[in-house]
Amino acid sequence: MYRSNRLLLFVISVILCGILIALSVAGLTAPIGNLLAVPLQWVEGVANGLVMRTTGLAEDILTIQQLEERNRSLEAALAAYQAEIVELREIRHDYDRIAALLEYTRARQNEEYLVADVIGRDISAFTRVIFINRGARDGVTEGMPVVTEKGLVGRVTQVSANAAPVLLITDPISAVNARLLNSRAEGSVLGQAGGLRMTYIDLNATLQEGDTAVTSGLGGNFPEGIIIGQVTSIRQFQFELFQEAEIRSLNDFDRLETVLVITNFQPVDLSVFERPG
Amino acid sequence: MGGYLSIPVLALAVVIQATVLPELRIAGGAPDLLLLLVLGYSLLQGFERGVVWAIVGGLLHDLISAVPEGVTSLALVATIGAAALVVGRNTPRNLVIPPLLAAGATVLYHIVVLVALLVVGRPLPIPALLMYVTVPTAVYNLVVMVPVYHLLAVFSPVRRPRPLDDRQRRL
Repeated sequence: MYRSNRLLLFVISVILCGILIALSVAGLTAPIGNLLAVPLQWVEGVANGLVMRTTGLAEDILTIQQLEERNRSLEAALAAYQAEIVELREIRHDYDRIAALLEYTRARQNEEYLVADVIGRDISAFTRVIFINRGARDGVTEGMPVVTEKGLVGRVTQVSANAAPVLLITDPISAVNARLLNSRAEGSVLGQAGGLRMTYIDLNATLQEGDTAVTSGLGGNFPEGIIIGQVTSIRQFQFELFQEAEIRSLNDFDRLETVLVITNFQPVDLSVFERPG
Repeated sequence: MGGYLSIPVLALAVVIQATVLPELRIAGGAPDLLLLLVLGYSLLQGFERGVVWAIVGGLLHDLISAVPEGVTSLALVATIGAAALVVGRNTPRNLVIPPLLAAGATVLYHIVVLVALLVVGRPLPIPALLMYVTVPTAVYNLVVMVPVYHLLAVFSPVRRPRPLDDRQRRL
């Protein structure tokens, strides 16, 4: 009895649904359906808006997290690239220096050079000395001239096994015999605080600013023809026996990094000709 | 939780199904909350009460969907009818049968809907839809039926006949 009731209910329900479908397909339920759907669709719209907003918020949070992660990743990459750029700039700087030195050595093929890195500077305020990473093991001997592509730097004053101090031409005790290229006037370039001064220039010589001073080779301490610097000013007094000129070297002696030691030049020791007493 | 209260509950279920659940869609399938509620309620309260939920819920569903009114009701009635035939009434403590029944009911429910749409002149690629929509939905429903049935058992306790007292027995 109970089962037959359920079956009857089932059949009635199915028939009802069938009728409903038929009415719906025929379009007869549309007015009532549309009316009933209004509140439901309104609730659906509100709920949908909430869901969209919530989903959008969740997506925004996810996007922010992804952006933060991406930002971190990019910052790490940027740091790596910056380090690489610094390294590459250093390499390029080294390359430029070495290329300039190479160019210089090609122009002076009668001389042999040894490339040396500057490894230190004299901490004394009164002397101008640099230390290079080449010494007796590399064939460096005392008195060898040191140059860069920009001109004369100084000369080796002592030698250890793998290092050597170089007395810069700007040191107060340095003196280099020089010649001015245009006027052919000769003199001696002395080191002084902050620059170079060429002295002992004949009063009759006609000096010009911009003239280039090169080593004259006299005295045997330096080979001939190495650029020392350019004349920047001239001093001439009637009561003095010689003229003087301020020389400006193209080298920045405070920022020397790589230099060339002229290894096939042997300075002449003139002390044997000095008279005793 | 019967009578008039069923309408807002089912309406809420329909709205959730139309708005929230599509966001959980995986491979064409999403939980079918209305089916699970009607099936669970039918298992707990019996086919007679379940039919009301099936017809009302199906109508509410069809009001905001593109299928003709009555199709979902028909599919739900057929589904809970089959469930009643297979299982009858289920105890609230038995949490094994409802999920398995939900998976099977999903297949039947979808078949009925697709056939009904075919009958009313809306032919759809039934095999492809069964594979792409029905199978993942069945898996989803199998999982989601566990909490749904548990909640239904809590909020819609099974009504059992009150035992007769001595006076009633004597009569």
